Amino acid sequence: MDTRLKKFKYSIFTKVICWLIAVLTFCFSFSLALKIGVNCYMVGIENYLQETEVSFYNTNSFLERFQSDFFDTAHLSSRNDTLIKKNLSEQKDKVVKKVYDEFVAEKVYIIKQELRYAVENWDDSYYKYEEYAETITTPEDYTSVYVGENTPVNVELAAKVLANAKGEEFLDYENLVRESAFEGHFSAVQDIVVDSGSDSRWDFVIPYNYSKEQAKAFISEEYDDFVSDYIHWNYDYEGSVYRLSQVNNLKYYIEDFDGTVTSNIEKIPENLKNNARYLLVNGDNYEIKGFDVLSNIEDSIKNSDYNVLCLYFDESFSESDIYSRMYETYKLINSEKVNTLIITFAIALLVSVLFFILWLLITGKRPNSEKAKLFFIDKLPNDIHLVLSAGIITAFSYALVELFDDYIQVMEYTDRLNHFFSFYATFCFIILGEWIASVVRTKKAGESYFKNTVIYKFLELIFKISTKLFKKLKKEFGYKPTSFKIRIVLAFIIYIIINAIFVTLFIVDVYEVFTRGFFVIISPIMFVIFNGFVCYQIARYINNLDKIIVASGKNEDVDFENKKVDSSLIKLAENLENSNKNLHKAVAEAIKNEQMKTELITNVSHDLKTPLTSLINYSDLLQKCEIDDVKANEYIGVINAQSGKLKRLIEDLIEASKVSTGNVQLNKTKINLAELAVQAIVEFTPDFEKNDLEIKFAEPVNAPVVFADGTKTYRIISNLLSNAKKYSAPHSRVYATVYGGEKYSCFEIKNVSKEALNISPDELTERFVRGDQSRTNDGNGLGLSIAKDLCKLQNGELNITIDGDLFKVVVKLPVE
Amino acid sequence: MYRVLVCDDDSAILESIRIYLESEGYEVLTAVDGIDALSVIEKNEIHCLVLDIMMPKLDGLRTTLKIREKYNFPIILLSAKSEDTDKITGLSFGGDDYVTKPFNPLELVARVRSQIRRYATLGSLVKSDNMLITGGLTLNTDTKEVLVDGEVVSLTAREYGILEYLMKNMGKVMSSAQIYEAVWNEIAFKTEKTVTVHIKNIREKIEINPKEPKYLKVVWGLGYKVEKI
Repeated sequence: MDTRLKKFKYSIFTKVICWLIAVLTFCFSFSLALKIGVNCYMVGIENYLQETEVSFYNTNSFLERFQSDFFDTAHLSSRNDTLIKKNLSEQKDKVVKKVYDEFVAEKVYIIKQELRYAVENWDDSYYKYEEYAETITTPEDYTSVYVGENTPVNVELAAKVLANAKGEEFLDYENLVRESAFEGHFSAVQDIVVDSGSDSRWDFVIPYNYSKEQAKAFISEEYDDFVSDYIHWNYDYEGSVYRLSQVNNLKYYIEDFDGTVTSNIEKIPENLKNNARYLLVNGDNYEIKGFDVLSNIEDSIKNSDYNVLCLYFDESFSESDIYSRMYETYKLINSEKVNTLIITFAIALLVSVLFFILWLLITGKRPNSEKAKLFFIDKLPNDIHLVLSAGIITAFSYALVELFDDYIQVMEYTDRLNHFFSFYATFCFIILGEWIASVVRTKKAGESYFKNTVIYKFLELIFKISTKLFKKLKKEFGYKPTSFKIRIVLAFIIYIIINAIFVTLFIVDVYEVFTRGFFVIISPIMFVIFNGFVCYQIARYINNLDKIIVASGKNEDVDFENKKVDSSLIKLAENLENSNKNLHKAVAEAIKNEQMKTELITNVSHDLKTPLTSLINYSDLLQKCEIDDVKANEYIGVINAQSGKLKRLIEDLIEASKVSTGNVQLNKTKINLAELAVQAIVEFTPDFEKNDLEIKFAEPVNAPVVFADGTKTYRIISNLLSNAKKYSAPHSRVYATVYGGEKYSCFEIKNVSKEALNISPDELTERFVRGDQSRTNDGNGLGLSIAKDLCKLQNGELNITIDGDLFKVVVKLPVE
Repeated sequence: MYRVLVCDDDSAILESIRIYLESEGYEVLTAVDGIDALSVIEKNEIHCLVLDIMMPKLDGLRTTLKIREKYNFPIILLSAKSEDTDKITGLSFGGDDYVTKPFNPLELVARVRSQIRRYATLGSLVKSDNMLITGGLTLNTDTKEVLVDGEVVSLTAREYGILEYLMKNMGKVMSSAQIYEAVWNEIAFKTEKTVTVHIKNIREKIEINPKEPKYLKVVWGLGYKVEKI
């Protein structure tokens, strides 16, 4: 039961229904509220609520409109353009002549154009104008003549300025003021103003370079312009005529003093007095009936100067106009029951509010989950959401109020308008409701309202960036900045500060705050000198740094030629010098070591060979002695054989050490690998035959060429052949071949091993490693090692492949 | 009776050499260093000198230079150094032959004999235009005779042809193909082995130690040449 209720409660159907009811009832209640509001305005709030009957002619709307129309008719009735124009024209000659005379007599004051403003606002800052006046020295500076409503003080200044311009000492300006044509002219303008019944003024500027004739024509033109502008701006007869043309049920007949007739009836009707309400003015005759509203101003109407004015209503309101529409609305109000309207409104509003609250309670909740779910609109940053909602509501509300105000004024309130306003109000309600619901959902979902705002995110971003930046800075400058870093940072800060001082002084001085121009000149010069000096220092620093870099590339010490150099560079140079010293020392030691090694080899070889020579010689001699003992002869034979072996071992050992240390001189030439192979094989053929082996050499068609040392290459091949001879299975064949390649040419030798090879190819080239573990053979394990090292020395390779008992060696030597 | 002076700072070696040479019938004098050797030479007529290079006081090379100021008897240098450069240095200082330690005593004896024979027959040798000579090796193109230190060596026709060709181009390296074309008078094709085998045979006939030839040298990978001595 509970879950079913829940399911129903949170279903989309319930939500939509709640929302719809809330919106529709709001729309309805707003429409009622509007109606009530309009009615209240029309008949007065007390009259409306107490349901007092009010005559249509006493409703607010009617009175407002009628007053407006009445003033238009009165305005037209008192019109007398011709008279005004005539009055002004009569004065024209007099005024123009007066101004012209003053102009000719130079009694109007020449004031530079910029002074105009200053003169008009005299009392604010007297000293400033004084300053301006001082700067004006020649008549050319004064571009115009100013005539206007100046106060005597301004005139005083103007006179002073004029005198100054003429190079005269201005003394008796008080007297000048008294006689001032300025004043006279001003009063002439005043005369015109008084005549036309307005406070309008006349002022203009005569260009300074005008001749007398030009000035006269100019003044005359200015006067005519003034007259036409004056009438146009002060008496808006066209507006009144237009407004009256919109009205049909108000009948009017108007004749002004010029004889112009404005009316919507042909003539004043004979039976005017039969009307319940009418107004008739004809010259001094005045009649009014039924217009309660005009009773307040009856006296003023009586005293006013109207020619002919007749007003009355078509009381059936048969024609369509504003009055007829107001009358319709009036009838409607009277037919409705006020209480019913108000109660309906209250109920509708209550229902709306209730369902809205209900909707708020269930929105976002799901039947199958406890947690509220956010709509996509809720994910919009909340501040943007707020601004959008508020913006839309404000815009619509403003438009609504404006429209409503306009329509209610003229009481053109209809059902269509009511619907129109209600619709917009409902729209605002929806937007506002949506926003409130969004806030509610956010709260329900347990999300922070402020975290999902642009402002929050922006602040968060700034915080993150600044934290990161701070960390980076901390890392960059470290906890313990080195002296160089401190110096650089300090130098940079000082540089910025000094430049900032120069710039500040310059700017401040331009505005003449306290130094009166001294730094305007000094600080740019100082700026240039200072920056030039800094540039020079930087260039010198870079130059010296460059020297160090070049020197470090060559492993040399730096010579600054006794010039003053920054201490950081000196430190760097010293460090370089130290490391150079160490390097040189190390190199010298290495060379010495190498020499010692070579010497050692030579000496050892000498020291070994000398006793060995004796050993060989004497064992040989012993063999030649006639010794009867068989065993002794046998022993002597062993000594002789072993000393021979020792001899070979020592020779190989010395060679191996020389080759592995690279202590070998190479005489590289282009050699024919095939020829070399043949030479070597021929050398070894007898040995092979002795061991019962056959050597097969496959001669290539094209002789492969290598760039190598012949003797050393022979040594490689002979070592390989010697190995083959020593370790091949008896009665087997040894295959050798040579072949050329693009980069390398190869010598290849294959033989079948006498004994099983339980050893890797890499191990075989180690020194003293031999294929036969028993080491009974006459090999010493140096042959392959020497061959491999010799190959390496000649930029070649020696590759060994072991495939069962098949033993294959490939010697690769470069062609070039 | 030829007199040989042996000079070495190692008394054991000195003694063994003396035994070998005496057994060959030479009168042997000994010296332990260069200065000693020079004084012996001053006092006696010497036909051949066996001189160790590495000696105290005055080494072999400087001794050779001093001797060569006055005498022209053959000098065989003994050295523990086996590098080619050392050999060349020794010979250019005035040595006639070079033997590296440890040496085969019989080889040394053969070299001594060879040098003495050459030295002794030097005056009797009749030089003519048809003779090609290098060191103790003489080839007479008229009689087709080849002499080594005055002794006739018998060569086959091909061997003689190769040797004559090489001696005519003395000092130049000739490839086996060139040799083949010149001697066999045919176009060479895979003939390296033929030539090489012949050369080997010649070396065995004319050289004291064929593995370290004095006259007919193998230039590895390029060919062969007869050294001009």
